[in-house]
Amino acid sequence: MITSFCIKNFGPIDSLKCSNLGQINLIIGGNGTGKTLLLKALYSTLKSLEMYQRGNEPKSLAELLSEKFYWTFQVGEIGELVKKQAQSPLSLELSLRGESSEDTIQYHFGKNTSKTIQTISSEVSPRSSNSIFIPPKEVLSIYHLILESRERDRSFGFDDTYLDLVKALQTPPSRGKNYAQFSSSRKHLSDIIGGRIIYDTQTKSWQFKQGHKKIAIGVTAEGVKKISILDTLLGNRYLDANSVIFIDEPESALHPGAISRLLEIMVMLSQAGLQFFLASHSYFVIKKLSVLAQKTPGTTIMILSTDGAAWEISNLADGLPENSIINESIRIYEEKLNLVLG
Amino acid sequence: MYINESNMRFGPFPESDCFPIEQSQTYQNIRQRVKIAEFALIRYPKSNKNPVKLYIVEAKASSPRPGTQPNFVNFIGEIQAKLTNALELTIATCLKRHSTWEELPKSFKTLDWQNVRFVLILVIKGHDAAWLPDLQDALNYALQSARQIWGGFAKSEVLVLNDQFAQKHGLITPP
Repeated sequence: MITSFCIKNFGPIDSLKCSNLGQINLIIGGNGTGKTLLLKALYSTLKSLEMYQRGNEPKSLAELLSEKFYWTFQVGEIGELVKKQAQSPLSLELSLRGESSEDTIQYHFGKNTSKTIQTISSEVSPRSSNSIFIPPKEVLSIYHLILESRERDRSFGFDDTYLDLVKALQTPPSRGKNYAQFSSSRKHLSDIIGGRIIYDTQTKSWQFKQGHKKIAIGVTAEGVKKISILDTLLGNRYLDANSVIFIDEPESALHPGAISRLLEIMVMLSQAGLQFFLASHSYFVIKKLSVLAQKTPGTTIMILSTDGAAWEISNLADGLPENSIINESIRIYEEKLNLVLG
Repeated sequence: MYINESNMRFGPFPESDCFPIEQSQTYQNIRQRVKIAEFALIRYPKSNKNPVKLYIVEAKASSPRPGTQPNFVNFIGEIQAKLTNALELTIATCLKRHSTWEELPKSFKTLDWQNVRFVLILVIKGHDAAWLPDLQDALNYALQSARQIWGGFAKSEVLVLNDQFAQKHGLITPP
């Protein structure tokens, strides 16, 4: 689990330090305030750590991280990620809970950095767990397109969050039982969508299996595909109890009822050990998480909120802090009051 | 006139425009079987182009404390009953179906029932503004039948306010 991070001069983010991350961490703010960038920065760092010294991986951590940044943010030179007009380099420090202590990675680079991060130090032990980033757009119907454009054509377009997800989905389902901690959650996910996705090796395509029926992925609902992705990753053991899941706009393509059920399942999964980072614009996400924070006090749900200038970090168990999503809801409510009461 | 209820001071309202239903003789005669909201209030628009409005107002001292409150469905049901009963009793009294009808304030006796807009209002002292829209939506759902019966959605509204918004819109005088 990521216990804390400190990020400086990253895109639009001036400085953000979060010392007590929770099992679920919600990031909210207006468009262009850096929510997705933050998620991708944390993911890229963690993913690089997971690749480092895994199997026969020969690359150094600096090489892995530099490549990850290049293909995730898809800028010509990674120095472009440094905040404009910043006098200091971009820096990120991230701490992970290890077996007996907290291990930290930190690195920084300046505007003139082309491809390689030079200054990096890490005391993080090799990780066997896998983290994943789930983007707003489902990948099942563009699965082959992602693979071709990236692996064959080596083109920008689909960043590493898409490619990593596609490759994670390629892992065949595990033989035997799922991780026991996930079986209940998988059942609930399956109940939301009424089935599961399967990969047909003959037609080399994904299909949605509903009872005995198989439905082509092209006519399967977007929300169904999205939830199926999480279900598949839990089922093929790509994710384990120490995984971290980053989800950008979990609400996209989902009915509010499904958003509610999905968040309840996230709480269940977090109780099994998974950690979540969510970036959201959704009124329903923030309202449901604030209720869950009170209903399940054993699950720490943090909210990181920005107005573009400053960040506010709070524990949802202490109540819903003022934020732009609720403010807009109240603003619309006040508009109605003025209309009726004059 | 003022109406003190649930630690809030409603008013000042012209006596001719405010019917304090809960304290009225009409209600006292039937109170054993009937829950009722606090008062009815006629509001005249600033412009003649806008309709006259009849507010039916129920007040609560605070949001119920978790663990001691009836559940949410019961809470909404109670408010729905009080508001609809108050509306119906006001109309019944205006129709002179109660012998005590003469206690009605002057403006109620000349109200244009065909065109008046009903506004059913719950005011909860101290309620968190972030949760008012949700409560308003729930109460609106519960009052859909009543709204349909009394002329459709164009002729009525449902609002849930806290004391801060009620004060802002001239329903409450600060202490």
